[in-house]
Amino acid sequence: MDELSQKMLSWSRLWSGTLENGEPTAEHYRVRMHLLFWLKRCIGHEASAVVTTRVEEVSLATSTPLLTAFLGRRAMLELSRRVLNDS
Amino acid sequence: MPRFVVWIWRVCAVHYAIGAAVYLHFLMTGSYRYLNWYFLFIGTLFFLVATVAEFFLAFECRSGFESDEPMRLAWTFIALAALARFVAASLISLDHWRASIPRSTTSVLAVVFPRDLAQIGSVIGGPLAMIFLAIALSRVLLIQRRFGVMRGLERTDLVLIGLILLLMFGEAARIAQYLGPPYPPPTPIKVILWLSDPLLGLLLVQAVLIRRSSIRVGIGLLSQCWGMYVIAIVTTLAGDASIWAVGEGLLSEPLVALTWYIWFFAAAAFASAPAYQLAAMKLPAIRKGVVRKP
Repeated sequence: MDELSQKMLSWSRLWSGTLENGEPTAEHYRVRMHLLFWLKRCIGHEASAVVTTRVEEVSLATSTPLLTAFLGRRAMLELSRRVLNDS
Repeated sequence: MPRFVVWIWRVCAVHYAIGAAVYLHFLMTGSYRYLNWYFLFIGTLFFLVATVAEFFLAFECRSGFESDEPMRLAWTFIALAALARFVAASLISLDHWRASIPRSTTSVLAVVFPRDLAQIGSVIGGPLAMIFLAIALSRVLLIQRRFGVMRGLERTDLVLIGLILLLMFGEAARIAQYLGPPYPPPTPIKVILWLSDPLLGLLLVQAVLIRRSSIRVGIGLLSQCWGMYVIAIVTTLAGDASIWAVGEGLLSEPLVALTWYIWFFAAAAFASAPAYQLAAMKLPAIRKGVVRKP
């Protein structure tokens, strides 16, 4: 149960982009880089500026509404999978 | 560049290459023989293929959104606009064929279809398609505004829009001259066709607003999709202006023939716009490989 709860917490942090000790982990960095790549590719290279004022604050939670509105729920689901799972 | 977009512009380039050869022949000989043949057969085929491609791509984009998603309605109207352009191209080509065959009471085309096929086609492919597109673009602008993507108009945009409005008022004043008693009352089709210019003006304002938003988000597949609509609308406006210039007798004979080529570019731009959107929607499911740093 503890393991599951830890996993849920970790995924929720990755989703919202919140940092544990104020420092981004390698996992946070990887997810943000993937997300920025997809934002740039699908919407535009300045799309992150529409989502938030600071690049460090770009997360799946902040970008999902914009991406869902213009790409649709199904495409966004696939995109989230790619952002979280691609190595 | 998405595969469909590459194909659309490849076909367009081949089509223009044939058109250039035919135009050169016209310039050298002064004969309309091959030019008429090109516009009647290859040109019609190009319009039909481009509008069918646009319709299917727009319909595919529509099906990527669920019924409660706001962009579904936008793509429904874009698909309807494409369908209207296809119907118009079919009706106009049928009218051309009917005109090219000898008049006979036994001719199937002469019996089945009404005489003003081309005018009905112009209404469907003109004002009706423009209304559908204007509804779709309004929807897109509303969504862009909701997400803070939309930008206001700049001074140059206002000057451009002012110029368009001035031209439209000029056109309205000219139309008013022909409403007097010496002239016969206008037909309903003619009255509907008068709406083309105001609708095109509205589409231009929407296109400029969308273009501003695209500049804000930078170059991506979605911004390229809306950028293509801007190009298509501006090209349509150029085509419309050329019709006006021809009507006013401002262009020489070789230039008149050259203006007919504008419409192929507009058709290709209209067809490639949904191809960009579809590529953005399908990309996360297709693309495999290592993600590069942005």
